[in-house]
Formats: sequence, C-alpha cells, structure tokens
Amino acid sequence: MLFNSLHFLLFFIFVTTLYYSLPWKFRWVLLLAASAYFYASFIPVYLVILGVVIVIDYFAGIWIENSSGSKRLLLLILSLIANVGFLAFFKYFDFLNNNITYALQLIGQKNEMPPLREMFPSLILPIGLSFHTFQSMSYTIEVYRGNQKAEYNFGIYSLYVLFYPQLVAGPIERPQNVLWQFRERFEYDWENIRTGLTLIAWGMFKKVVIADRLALVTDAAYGDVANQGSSALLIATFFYCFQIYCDFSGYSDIAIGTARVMGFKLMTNFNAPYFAESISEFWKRWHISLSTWFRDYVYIPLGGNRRAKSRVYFNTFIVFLLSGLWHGADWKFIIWGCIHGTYLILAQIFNTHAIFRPSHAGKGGALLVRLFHIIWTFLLVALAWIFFRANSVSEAFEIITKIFTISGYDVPQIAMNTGEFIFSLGLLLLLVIKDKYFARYIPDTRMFWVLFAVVCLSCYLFGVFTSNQFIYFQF
Amino acid sequence: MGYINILIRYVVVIITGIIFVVSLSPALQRKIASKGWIPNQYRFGDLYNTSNLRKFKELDYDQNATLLPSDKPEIKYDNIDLYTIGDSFTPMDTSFYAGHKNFHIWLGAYVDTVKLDTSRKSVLVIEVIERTIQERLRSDYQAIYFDKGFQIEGKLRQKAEEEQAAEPSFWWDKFGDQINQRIEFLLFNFDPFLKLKELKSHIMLSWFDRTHTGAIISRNHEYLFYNIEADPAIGLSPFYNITASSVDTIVTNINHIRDHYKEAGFDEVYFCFVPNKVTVCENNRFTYNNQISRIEKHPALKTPILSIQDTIRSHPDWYHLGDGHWTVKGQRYWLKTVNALVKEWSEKPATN
Repeated sequence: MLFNSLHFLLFFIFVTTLYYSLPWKFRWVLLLAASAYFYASFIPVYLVILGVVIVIDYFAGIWIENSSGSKRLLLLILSLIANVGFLAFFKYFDFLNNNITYALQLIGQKNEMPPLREMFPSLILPIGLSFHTFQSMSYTIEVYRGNQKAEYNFGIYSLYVLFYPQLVAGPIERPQNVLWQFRERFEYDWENIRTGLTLIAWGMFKKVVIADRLALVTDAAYGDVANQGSSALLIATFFYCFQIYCDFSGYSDIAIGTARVMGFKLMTNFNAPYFAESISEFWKRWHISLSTWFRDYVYIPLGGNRRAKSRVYFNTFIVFLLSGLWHGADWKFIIWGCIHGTYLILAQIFNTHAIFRPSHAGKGGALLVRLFHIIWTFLLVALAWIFFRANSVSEAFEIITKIFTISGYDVPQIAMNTGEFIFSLGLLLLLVIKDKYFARYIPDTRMFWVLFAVVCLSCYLFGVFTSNQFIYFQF
Repeated sequence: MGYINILIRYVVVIITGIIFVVSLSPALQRKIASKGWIPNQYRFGDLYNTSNLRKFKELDYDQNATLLPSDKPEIKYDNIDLYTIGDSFTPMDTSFYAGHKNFHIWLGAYVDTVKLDTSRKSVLVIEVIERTIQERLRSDYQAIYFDKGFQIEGKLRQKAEEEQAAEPSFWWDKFGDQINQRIEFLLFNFDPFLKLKELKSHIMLSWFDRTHTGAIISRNHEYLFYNIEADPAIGLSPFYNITASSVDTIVTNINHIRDHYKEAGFDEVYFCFVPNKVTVCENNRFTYNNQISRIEKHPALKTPILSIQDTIRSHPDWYHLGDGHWTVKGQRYWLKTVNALVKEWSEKPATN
C-alpha cells in the first residue's frame, strides 16, 4: 500500500475516523491491527519476518533492564547481533558472497557458496527492513543506556516498530519520543488535524507532481546512458537532485502528517537541505532521523570529535561508509557514502567553511557569499547523487565523464516536451520558495480549506500516477 | 454539536468500511455492478476508460457493440455442431451461430466439458487477436488451448473437474487483488468524476503531449490504440521484429493444436486471426512485422485458416472510436465468415 494510492486514501480515512470513534483503551489495538494490515498489503509473509525482530527486541529490552554489569552489555550485544544478522542475511549476504566470488576468481579459485536468491528463489528483501531494524536497535540501546524503560506490553512495543505512518521509510524514531505517545489519550483536535492534513497535502504534491514528473526524465536518461548526450545527462542529474528530495521528503511529510492527524508527533526528517551552506550543514538538514541515529549510536560511541584529528577523520569516514552501506548492498552506495565522508574530512582539513569569508567562521556573510556556498554545496551533493542513482559504478563514471565532456553538449533530447520542461522548472521554483519562506507554514482554518482544495486538485490534475514507488522503500 | 460530530464519525466509518470490503472482494464488486449500483467503467469504450480523452468518448458505444436479433442466422444446419474458442472479440451469444448446437469458450474465462455428438460433424474455430499470437501460441499454447479449451467428456473430463474443484470461494476469489483499480472503479466512474478525468487528460495531452501510459494516440490524432499494440518496444506489438524461427514455432504449435483436437474427435480445426486495431488504422506507424500473413502463408501450415485480414484492413471504421475492439460490423463479418463455414461443412458429404 503506497501513500500515493487510493488504497491508502481509503485506509487512512477509515482508520483515522475509527481511531477517534473508539474508546481510548482500544486505540492502540486498532493502530496495531491497521499497521499489520498496512505492512501485509505489500507481501503478507513480511509480517512474519518483522515479527521475529519484534520478539527478539521485546525480550532483549526486558532482560537488559533486569540485568546489570557485563550481562547487561552482553544482552545488548546479542540483540544487536540478531538485528544486524537479520539485516545482513536479507540485504548483504549476496553482496558479500558476490564479492568473495569475484575475489576468489582473481586468484583462480571458485566460491562454492551459491547466491541466497538461488538457494531460495522466492526470498525477497522485506520492504523497509533497514528502517525498522534501526528503530528496533535504538530501543534496546536506549534501554541499555537507561534513557528508556523497557516496554512490558508486547502490543505497545510491537506498535512502536510497526506504527504504519513511519513503518517502511521512517522517520527512524527513538523510543523516548514515540513509545509514551501510544499510551497518551489524544482527543480530537482540529489543530492537529489541520497541521497533519497540510503536511499530507504538501507531501503528496511533492511526490506525485514534482518527484514523479522529474522521474520521467531521470529514468529515461539513466536507463539508457549509452545513448544520452551530455546535456540530457546533466539535466537528468539536476532533476534527480530534486526528485529524490521531493520523493523522500514527500514521504516523510505524509508520514508525519498521517501520525499528526491522530495526535502523534514524529521527528522532523528534512529541513530545506539544498539551502545548506556546507556538506556538514546538509547532513543536519537531510534525512535527519538517520543522520542523528548514526551520530548517537556510532559516531559518538567511537569518540566523536573529542579525539585526535586523525581519529575524528576516521570516525567521520566510518559513519558515512556505514551510511552508504545502509542504503543498499551495492558498491555505488558505498562510494556515495565515502564521497560524503571525504567531503567532510576535506572540509575539516582545509577549513573550507571559512573560505571567502574569513570573518565568519560559521553561517552568515554577504548574500552573494552565502549563495556561492549554497550552490557549491549543491554541486558537490549533485555529483555524489550520480553514484546513488546510476545503475552501476561503471555507469556512474560514464555519466560523469559525459557531463564533463564539453564537446558532447548539444540540444538536449529529454523525455519531456518544452512545455513540460518549463512547467517542471516552475515547480522547482515553487519548491524553493516554499522551502525558503513557508517551510513550517500551517495556514489558519479559512486559508487551510482553500489551500487544501487547491493542492489536492493540483495533485490530481498535474500528478503523474504511474505506480511509482517511493525511492527509499527499497532500503 | 458533540453528538453531530460523533454521528458524522460513525457515518464515515461505516461508509468507508463498506467501500473497503467491496473493494477487497472482486466477486462482491461484480455483484454490485450487475445490480447497476455503479456504472460500467467500459460504457464509453475501454480505451476511453484508460485515456479519458473526450474526443474518444463513444457515447453510442453500446449501440455500436451490440448485435441485434436480426443478426441471428435464418438457417441452422442440423448436421453440424460448431465449437468456437475466442476472446473479447467474439463475446456474442451462441445463438448467433448457425450450427445445430453451438459451444463457445471465452479463453481464460472458463473450461467447458463437452460430449461430441458422433452423429454430427464437429467443427472447431479458434479466433486469435493478433497481439496475443506470440503470447498464446509460442510456448504456453498447451496450457492455454488444451487445459483451458474444450475438455471432451470421457476422455479429458477428469482434468476439467479438477480445475473446477480448485476454484476459490466467492469471498476469497482474488481477495485484495488490484485494489486501487477497483476503488477507482467503485468511486470514480460516475459522470462528474469523468469530467475531471477528461480535464486532466486534456491538460496532459495539450500541454505536455502525453496520454495515459495504457493508450497511444495515432499520429493524425484520429485513433486511439492500446500501448501494447502501438509501442514497438513491446514484444507483443505488431511493430516488434519477430524472427522466422519464431513464426516456424507458432505454425508448428498451431498444427499441434489441430492434431490434438482432431484426435479428440473433431472433424476439423480452423484458425482465424483478427488484425490489431493499429495495423488496420495506422499500419505505417512503424515497420509492420506482417505476422498474420507470414503464418497464413507458411508452407508448413497444415491447419486451415479463415482469413479475414484483407477485408478487415479495408474497413478501419469497423473498429470502435474509444475501444480497441471491432464494432458490431466486425462481429457481423466474423459471424458471416464462420456461418458460411458451417454451411460449407453441412454440404460436404459424410466421410465415414
């Protein structure tokens, strides 16, 4: 069940209305059943896999809380191994196995281990596995740290992992932020509903009108790189930057809005990332729930930035290497992560933040200088996105080579006519204005109804409905 | 105020709940559609339903698609039983055929078990629309034409009974399948919504030169085609290059189907290929692979053919404006051809 489907629209209206119609004590049961249906609607057997993860961490949380000393740590490590093991089995086994095969071939040996999908042809990667595994891990870690009490109600804990708005693509929540809310008695509140619906409508607009329209160009160009000119690939790459932003932030807005309509407040996941003036700032604005997850559970435990410079660089690199790997079992994602890690290390070595504005170590300065930093950061991010979007590493290099070959530029042949191209640019301008001046704007009631109707109608009239799944579902 | 609020909530829950249940069960939806509570989504043509382009809204679709009682044959031939296997091009009632008894299978819809009447001649005609030739006759032809074709009582009956026994129950028949399409069918096929859909389609076509992905408009904007017919990149398109060996395989399989049914007791098996709308209305769209002619003229073909393509090709007007099928005129030509065959067989002397 995709957010941009009629199935979800019907489901959302039914569940939300029923939620407010039921007595408070039954609401978590409704949400759990609805979440299970939501997840099973992709492929029912996914629920069993997710159920195993839930059972492991439910008991791990209780045992950790009731233990002390080294036993407590041992239980945490065991639960983390179980979670990572699940992820490794479904997501990384074949990647590792293929690389071992390749390495052995180099020395004339043969790998006897067949690929997982060959042994079990019907095995597929459960949708959103990386998201809910990370959310589960944050629970056991926080219980271990003493920041969160273990949840004894199995149903409530299951709901923490399964909660349908953020189940398949985040935001990756922390237990301290969410678990207590499942016991909260949220009364029918128009402000929550108005805020939630505003977020849903704008998120939907970003997904179906902007992201899926830009995808028409990027999919065509990246799907046939060999026959594309430099200008077409440049436009496709430029569009992809906004496609992935609108796709993922659109999903997040719908997720946060869906929860908000029922009174739940989920964490912000995006904050106008392309207005970042440095890569470091970009990561404080992009996929915030994942960035902070790595910061809290990997970077800081490794020593963070309170160590020698070389160790700080190492910590930074490890975090981004893992971030790349988290996105997918493919070298292109690892390279994407490493590029961002390298950007940050180079920025720290050369203190690029201060370039052109020595008097301003941080943000600020003349408009032109800030604009330069924004554009420069955007270009660096765009370059890295090529690896993220390309079908393979070799194809990414081919795209980069073509983009930087000046003689290859001609009249762009893209999968869009001039009218739609101009329309798309207009949408991007609208996006920039919204992010810059109306990022957290929630209209008053009268304005809400006007804007809600206009946005919904625009979603229908200008939306592209070609069953485009959200990009981050694959992770 | 509080009570009104609660009442509204319960009403919304009940209505959305009912819609949810109906959307989940195709069987239940069919029941409701048959009672006329929701409009038929194909009432203006299947391609209009896909594209929602107002220009292709065939307001008199039913009139153009429905045979009249006067189309029924005046003479029925007592010594011939006619069997037909077809698809959505031959949906007519068997009373329009001129055999003594007439049996028809809409391929994939059901399996029919029959007992051949040995006192009469049994002739089978298999109709195939061009775009399904590769799909139906290349590799899976046995599963399609043997397992889902006529099962001869006493010989192949057990298989048919097994298939019938395996059919799912009313409630669970394809439960949850294609739910988005069915919600749209249930809620958004009323006339006011069609206006909105037409507006969207108009904007997409006039501003962005796009039609819905399922439909392709002809270069002169006069005809609408299925995507799978008109897109040369799709393997089932008549503009997709097919190899000589592929045609050889299809001819071999056609002969095999004929042998199968002749062994089962049929006197003869005929094939009839209906050309795609795009190859009739815009044959020069891309390079046509001439699949029908290559099969019909193949030296290894032993199966007799009812060739209708030359006549059909000279009548683009026999295809619907907003639909991928032929109109009642095409259906009448099909009936005329098949009923002429029945007459021809009735006049043949008995061979045994």
